[in-house]
Amino acid sequence: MQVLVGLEEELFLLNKMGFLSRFSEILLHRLVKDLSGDRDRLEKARKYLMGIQWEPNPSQIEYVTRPMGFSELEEAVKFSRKLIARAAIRTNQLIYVGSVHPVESNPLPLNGTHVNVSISSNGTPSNKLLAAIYMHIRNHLPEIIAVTANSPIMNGRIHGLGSARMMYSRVLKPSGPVIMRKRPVSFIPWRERSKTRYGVIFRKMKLFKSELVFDPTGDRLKEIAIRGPSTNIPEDIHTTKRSSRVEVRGVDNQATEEYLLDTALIIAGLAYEAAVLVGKGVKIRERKNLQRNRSRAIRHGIEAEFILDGGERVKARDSFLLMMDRIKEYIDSIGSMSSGLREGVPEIIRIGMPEIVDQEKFSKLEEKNRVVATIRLSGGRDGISLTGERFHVTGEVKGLLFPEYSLKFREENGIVRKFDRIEKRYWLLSKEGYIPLMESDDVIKAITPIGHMAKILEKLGES
Amino acid sequence: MSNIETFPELIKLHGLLSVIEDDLADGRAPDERILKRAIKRIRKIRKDENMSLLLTSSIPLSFLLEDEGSEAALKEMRKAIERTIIMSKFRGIRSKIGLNRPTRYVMTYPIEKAAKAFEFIEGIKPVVLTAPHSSPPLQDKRITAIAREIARISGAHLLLSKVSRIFVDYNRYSSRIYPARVFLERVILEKRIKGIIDLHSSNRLEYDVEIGCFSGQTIPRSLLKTLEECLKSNGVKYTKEGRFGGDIVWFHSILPDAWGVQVEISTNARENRVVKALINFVERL
Repeated sequence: MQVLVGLEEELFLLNKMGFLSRFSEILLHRLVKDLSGDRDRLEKARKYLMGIQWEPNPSQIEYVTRPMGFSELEEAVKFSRKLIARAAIRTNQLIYVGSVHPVESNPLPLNGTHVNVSISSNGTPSNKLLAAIYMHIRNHLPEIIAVTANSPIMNGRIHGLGSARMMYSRVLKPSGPVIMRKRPVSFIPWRERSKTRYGVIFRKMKLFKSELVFDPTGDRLKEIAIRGPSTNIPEDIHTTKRSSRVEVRGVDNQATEEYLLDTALIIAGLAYEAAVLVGKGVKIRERKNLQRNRSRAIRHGIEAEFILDGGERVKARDSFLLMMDRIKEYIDSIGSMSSGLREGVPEIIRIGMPEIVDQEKFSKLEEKNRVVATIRLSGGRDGISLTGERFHVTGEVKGLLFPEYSLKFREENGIVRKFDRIEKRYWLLSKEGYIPLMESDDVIKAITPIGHMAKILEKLGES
Repeated sequence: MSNIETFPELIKLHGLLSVIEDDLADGRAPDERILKRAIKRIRKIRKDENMSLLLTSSIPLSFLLEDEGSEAALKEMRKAIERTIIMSKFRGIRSKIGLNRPTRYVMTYPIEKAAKAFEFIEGIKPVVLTAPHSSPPLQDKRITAIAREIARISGAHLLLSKVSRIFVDYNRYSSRIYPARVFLERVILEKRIKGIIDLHSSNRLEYDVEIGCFSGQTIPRSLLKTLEECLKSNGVKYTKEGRFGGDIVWFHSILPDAWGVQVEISTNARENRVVKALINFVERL
């Protein structure tokens, strides 16, 4: 059996203070310049990478590896991250390998990892095998989501062990079971016209020509998808049979290469198990409670409780370890694991949560958008005018409430893997300038900007 | 509540505010029933999350710092509603100014440093030139020299960024809370500025100059014509179709009080011609 794995990983670009930097175009321009003058690195890039993709948000960038044996994948991932980080440094930026920016993702932009896996004995997986791999991995998505969820902080607040990306992403819709249907003609809906100009596509009239359908409109933006010419995905119609694969998109970014590679290995192991089951003539059906378990995994991550087919409850970690026991032999035949995933310890637990320093009282007001505030200061203090001069202020002040963030993180060769501390300090923008706020200050009144409009009219009536 | 339901409410609210403004201008107390109707409409709009976002993003900061009951605030309020009406019609504006949802003002650069991260040179003309990407790294090439030259000869006010756009992009929605943007808002009000020319440069333009004015929403047609004449007479090739504009032009220009235009200059253009054309434009105002 030949097992090929390909990875797509989206990355954030940061400035030196840890906030999003919107210059992916300048970074890629730099990267092309660097590669043009470095033959060795260019050859390596050609060997490992299909390319580097744009994302809709200019503070994101995505590298796409070629399909390769698992032994080569580690080198490919390390090389790709380094390559982009090097160009980032040269354009005064850094890369962050997380799924969610702790402050600026609200909820978008979000990053993810796509694991593509293909198994075959002759380089081209059959439709039957593809369908089995898809169904088998899909059945284990709750376990995969639970152990890879890695988006602990969002919008400056703790999100927990669940996957914020899976919860808020617009392009990770739940997948359906796959069906095989024979049809010599395909209909492409009008709204999919950006993917292919054709509305109707005529296929060859082969006796056994069948199509794998997991979404009636051929939408590939699912947490898991079958890719290749045998599907009804409009973008894949003109691809070759050799590109047939299963793409798992419901995986959060893993900060360390060990966790990233082990995640890919587990998915490859499941694919291998599916191939063995097909060989034994086992038909893979959808697990009971799959969607409920999936939702639980998204919400609670490793702390989720799954419902087994018989109705018993099991901890996500135990369910994952049971799965691992079963597929261990297949994993061992592909590669070896080196991260905490062997023991069912997700990266989010291993590397720990960042520390958040917040002024809760003001944070709650901001969350409700009650930012037009009157505050009684607990003591006199210095404010900063618009042009940087100090001014002294005491008593009641009125203005606009907003947070100032400062981030502490570790950077290694242009790569940020984790934020250690997120400090949120509230200020009030008054007519005189900026006034720092303290927890001991009293909030006299706080309304929303639109509420402020209504208040102005009410006061006009009274006067 | 949806946009379809709240959009007419917005139009009606605008009409009611005009009536209240007229009453106050004539020295009459505003009609209580009209005030009540206006408040009712504001409450209806507040229930529509999307429209609230647009309306909140259109409110000038100076308005939020005004005392309740202030008559000056009423005018600002009406202008905010005008801007929301335009934004509801032209959906592309949101992405151009970098307005994500939910709308939040967040400072990602220390205030102490931010207060020193701009330079203002006072002029004598009621026009302010801005160069939000004038500080390295990743600055707009030659834009500082071009802006200084135009300001020096024409007498326009000038606001230059002293921080790289990697840290703060003054031409985005998220930077409105920063001292430079609040200062610009004050300058426009206090110095009765009539126009804002937001200067940028790029090496990827087909023309010498690209004019951005949100499809004519931020500048009167007659002034746009004057700008075109100045460019033409100095042999500068330009287009109005390219750049849409950014948040400086969008947020600080409210017709008829203040207009705004973004001027993107090609690094391949003959700089002296562009400078001369823009000086002519400021002088003709």
